[in-house]
Amino acid sequence: MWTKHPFRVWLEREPQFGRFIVAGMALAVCALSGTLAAAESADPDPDDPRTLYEQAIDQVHADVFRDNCFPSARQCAACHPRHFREWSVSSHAYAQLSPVFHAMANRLNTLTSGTLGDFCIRCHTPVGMALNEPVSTSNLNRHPVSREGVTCVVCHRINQAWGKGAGRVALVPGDLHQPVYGPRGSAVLRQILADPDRYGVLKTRKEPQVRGRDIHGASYRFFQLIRPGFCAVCHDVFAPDGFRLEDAFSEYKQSPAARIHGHTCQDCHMGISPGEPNGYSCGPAAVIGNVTTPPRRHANHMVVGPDYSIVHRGLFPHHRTAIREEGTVDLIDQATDGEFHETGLATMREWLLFDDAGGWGTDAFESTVSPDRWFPSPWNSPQRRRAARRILEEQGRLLAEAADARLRLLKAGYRLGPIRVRRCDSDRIDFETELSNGTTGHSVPTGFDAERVVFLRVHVWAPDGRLVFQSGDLDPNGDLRDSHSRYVHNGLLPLDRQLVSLQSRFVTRNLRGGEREQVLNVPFSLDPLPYVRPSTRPFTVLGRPIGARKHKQNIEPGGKISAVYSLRGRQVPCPGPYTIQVQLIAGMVPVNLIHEISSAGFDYGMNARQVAQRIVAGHLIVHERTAVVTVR
Amino acid sequence: MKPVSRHHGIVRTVLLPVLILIVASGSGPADRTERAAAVVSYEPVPTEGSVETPPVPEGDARPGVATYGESFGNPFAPAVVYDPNVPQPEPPPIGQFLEHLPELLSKPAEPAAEIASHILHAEHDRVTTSLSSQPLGMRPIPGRPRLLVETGERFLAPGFLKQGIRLPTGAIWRPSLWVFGTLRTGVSYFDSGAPGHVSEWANRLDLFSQLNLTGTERLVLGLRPLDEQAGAVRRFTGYDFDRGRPLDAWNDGVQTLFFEGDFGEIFPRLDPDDRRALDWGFSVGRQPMLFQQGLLLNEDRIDAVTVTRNTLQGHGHLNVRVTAVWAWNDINRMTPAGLALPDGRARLIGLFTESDVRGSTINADIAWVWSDRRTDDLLVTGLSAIQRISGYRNIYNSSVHFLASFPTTAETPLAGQGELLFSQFSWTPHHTHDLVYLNAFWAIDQFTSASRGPLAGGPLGQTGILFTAPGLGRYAAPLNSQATNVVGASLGYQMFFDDTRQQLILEVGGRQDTDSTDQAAAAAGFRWQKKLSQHWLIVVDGFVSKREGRGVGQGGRVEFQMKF
Repeated sequence: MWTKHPFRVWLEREPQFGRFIVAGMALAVCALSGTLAAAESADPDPDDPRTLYEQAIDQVHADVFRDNCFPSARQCAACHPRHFREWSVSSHAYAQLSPVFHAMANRLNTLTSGTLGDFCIRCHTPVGMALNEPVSTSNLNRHPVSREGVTCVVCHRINQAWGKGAGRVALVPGDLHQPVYGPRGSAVLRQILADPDRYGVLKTRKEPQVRGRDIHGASYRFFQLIRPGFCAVCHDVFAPDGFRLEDAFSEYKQSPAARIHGHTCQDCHMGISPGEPNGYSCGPAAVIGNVTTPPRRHANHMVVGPDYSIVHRGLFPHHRTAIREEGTVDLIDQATDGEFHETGLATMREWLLFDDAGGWGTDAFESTVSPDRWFPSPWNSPQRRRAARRILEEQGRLLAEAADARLRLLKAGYRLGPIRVRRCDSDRIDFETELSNGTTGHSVPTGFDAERVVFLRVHVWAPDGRLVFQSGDLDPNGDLRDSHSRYVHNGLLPLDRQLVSLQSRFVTRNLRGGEREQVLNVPFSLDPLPYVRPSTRPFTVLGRPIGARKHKQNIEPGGKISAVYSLRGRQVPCPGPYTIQVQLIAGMVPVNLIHEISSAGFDYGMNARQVAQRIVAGHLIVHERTAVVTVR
Repeated sequence: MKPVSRHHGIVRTVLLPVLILIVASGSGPADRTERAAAVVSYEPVPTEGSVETPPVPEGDARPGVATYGESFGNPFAPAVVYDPNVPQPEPPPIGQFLEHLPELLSKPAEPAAEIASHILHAEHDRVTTSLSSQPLGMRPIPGRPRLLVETGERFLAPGFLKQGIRLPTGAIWRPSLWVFGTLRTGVSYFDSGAPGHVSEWANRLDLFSQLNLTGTERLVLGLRPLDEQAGAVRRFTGYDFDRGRPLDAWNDGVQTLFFEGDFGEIFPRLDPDDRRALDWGFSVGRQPMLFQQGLLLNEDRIDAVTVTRNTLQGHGHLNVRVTAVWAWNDINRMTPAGLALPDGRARLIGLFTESDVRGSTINADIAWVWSDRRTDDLLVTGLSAIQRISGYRNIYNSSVHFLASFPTTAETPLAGQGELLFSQFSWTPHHTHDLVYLNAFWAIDQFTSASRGPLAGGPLGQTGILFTAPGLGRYAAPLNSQATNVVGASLGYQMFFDDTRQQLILEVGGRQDTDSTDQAAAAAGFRWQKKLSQHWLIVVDGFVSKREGRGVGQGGRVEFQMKF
């Protein structure tokens, strides 16, 4: 038997008191929130990193939003060249420079009447957002450290375990001399600071009058930096309305890697073998002058992932001497009157005028240039063009290194079985191959899996060399012939009915008529004014908002799918040997996304076709299998 | 009360879902791989052919495939473009035949869009095929509209973020208070064809306050000061034009008040290495709740505690969510006449799941409602499959839902035995973003949802806009949405204009009773909705209807909504 609580009985008898209670609760909520928002920590401990952090805030309070609030990776590179080199070509370093990201975020903001705010860009440039930069402006106008995306300070100026917060974490502000946060602590740093004979004169905030090499005065141990939960800050992305855009960390927590093997994100993505937990390399944490610190475990800061750059090689990878800043923005450490002598070869705008593909600066090109040929400034100097070419060749080598690492990562992540023929008649060939997840840490693809392109390309040639079957080919835009291809949607090309693609799908709710796939996850069928606001119902209950969701189509850890292909009728024209080729291909994003977001415009003066072509050019063949089947 | 035909119900309850799943599993764009998954355990079928290591074939015969036979010296894949000379499989006759129906139904769509485009002075949204080679530069975006109140951190706004408060559990909270909501105001005239009609001005304010603590923890308070539940109906503040008097529904009742969070995020010190999968989501308090797209349960407020496990994987299930619900208050029980009666003594317990498999999304739910009266106890189950079907000429969105209600004591008006078969089918015509939908239902006996709020209407609301009340005032659904011995369908066409900012929906629908109660009805209607500004939109509805034994019904309404 259910009995009513006496308090409830009383409330029913005296409803007016219920109203007072409700009003009181509302006030209490407001008061509580105000109290919590205004709450400060207890008495300061002078040795507590948080106290130092607060002191740092005081010191930089006047100019906290000025240019020197966060040091640039180029400044860090002075003592951490290996870390800088690896990071400079990483997806983290590319995060903010990506024109695709920018256009997508802007398009989503347009579709949601600006209510999406900084949701996307907060992860892509935490520094830019901390500096209160506009959500939408060209990277050519952004602060140099903002352009660096997930730069050094984004991880090493975090002092708390924030948990799953879609990137909304507080960076500890301060110039180069402020403490950093790392996995080890200050032991080595203290030795360095105590030994000027060996490491030279070093300048910290405590001794601003000293003329010496700039260095951070302390390095605090922040153990979560090497734990998966640290990655979760940005790699478990759910919007305030409950939409789960990415759930790589949530997948990881349920995976054998976490629950059985104890492998971390860093083990596979910062280790010696991309995608495999084979340990770490070894090396010094820093090079001060020409003296290295003792070797220790080195985590690869390339943090290999599936993305790749499509922008001018002068802009990416980040190069220490390629880019000269425009205007008055510089990297000078004003707080200590330090000087930053390094200058770049050209501004970003000038680099965009440099014809990389045209061979400017190469011997072959320069030997054919007539003296009266016009070049845009500053490229009218052949010496400058040759200098630029040297930088671009360096950039090219680094990009090739990154592509190789990406390929190794993808090879570790996907397994492609042999081709097996299931049936072979005079008018029919059926064959299959098995595609499986090579990792134990998450599904593949994971993360932004609704816009990841991983598919099987299959060709079969008849005995006379004629191509009789194709799947995984592209439409003239560069899209797979799937439901999102504009050519297929408009009835101009047939649907690739046998396509095997691992791309998950955004599914939005229709006003009526169930749900449909959309390239972007804005449910405009429900409402001509889609708004992003906190969910008014618990988003944990459905795990998503009512208007949109993601239908996963990837492969779970330990999972596999069998890709079956069938040729019939005219596709088997004669007896003889048929050659079958199956390739597993991985790309960055589908071209239909480019089409969908193109109305927002692309940065660097790029157009949609150009972007699409460069994306398709980056497709990698991860695995390939061939077989010959003889029809008798 | 009549006795429950238990065996009959169980047979229908068990067999029909299985049938639905069989049908659903044979469809969808990836059904081929689904079937493939089924055959993966089979040995290869012996054939006349033989597999051997291939000779290096002639490269000329392979357009775009240049690296065959080589190592991965150059791993970049050439852009192999579709070759129209490659023979395509012929669609089977049955497939061709079946696709004629949607094509036929789509025929009026294009001329209708043309006419509407002229009438509305709006540009019909067309899907271009080729990518543009024209650089646009970065286009400006709308500024972020502020919330009504933003203290602490501003909602999704750039700016420096403060350090938070560290709890003894290790969690970092950064409290912010946000106030937001929606204001709706509209005038309407509604005449069902029965004696009497409604003409009124009605208002509704959904006001929410969120104390945001982290990305996963928050406390939400919701008020609806302009409308309140009065027994089985909701009353709205406004003006009754027929009686010439104001309507007063001012109230300070709490519509929503819940806390939700993630156990692992609140207690991170219990799992510092992130190996224990403590990410259990939960919510507790007064909250809206909806399952099976509102067919099984649809409440705009219910006092409940929920526990959810998400992102489970394995055995071909790519994303499984399991939610357990225990509700103890504000449970409304709907009668066949459409009255949502509050049942203060009812309790509800349920288990609700959703799983992505490669070709479909499966929801399997069960809920039991009971009370200490030992009457009106009801077990409700739901099973659905949602997928896209690849045709030869288009892609088709489909969903099939099967629900059954089964009284565990005796059949009563609040606890009926019955089954509901509900399907949604839609597609987008070529060159457009538009949507053509064809939804149908078949209710056997008296299907009863576990709980439905007074604004939720009957279970058939998803059939079409003609089956749904707008949730503002006494403007009701033109067609009855109760699921008792009835079949019916709706056919609609949603057109988009001005980059989706203006929409026109045309719909026809009808229902036919299957128990000879002569309640067949049909209706035609439209909805026009348009974004007016960054905060405002307008919605205009109209319909005409005819029900057996009644005169012609008609109605119309104009509503303005402000979001903030």
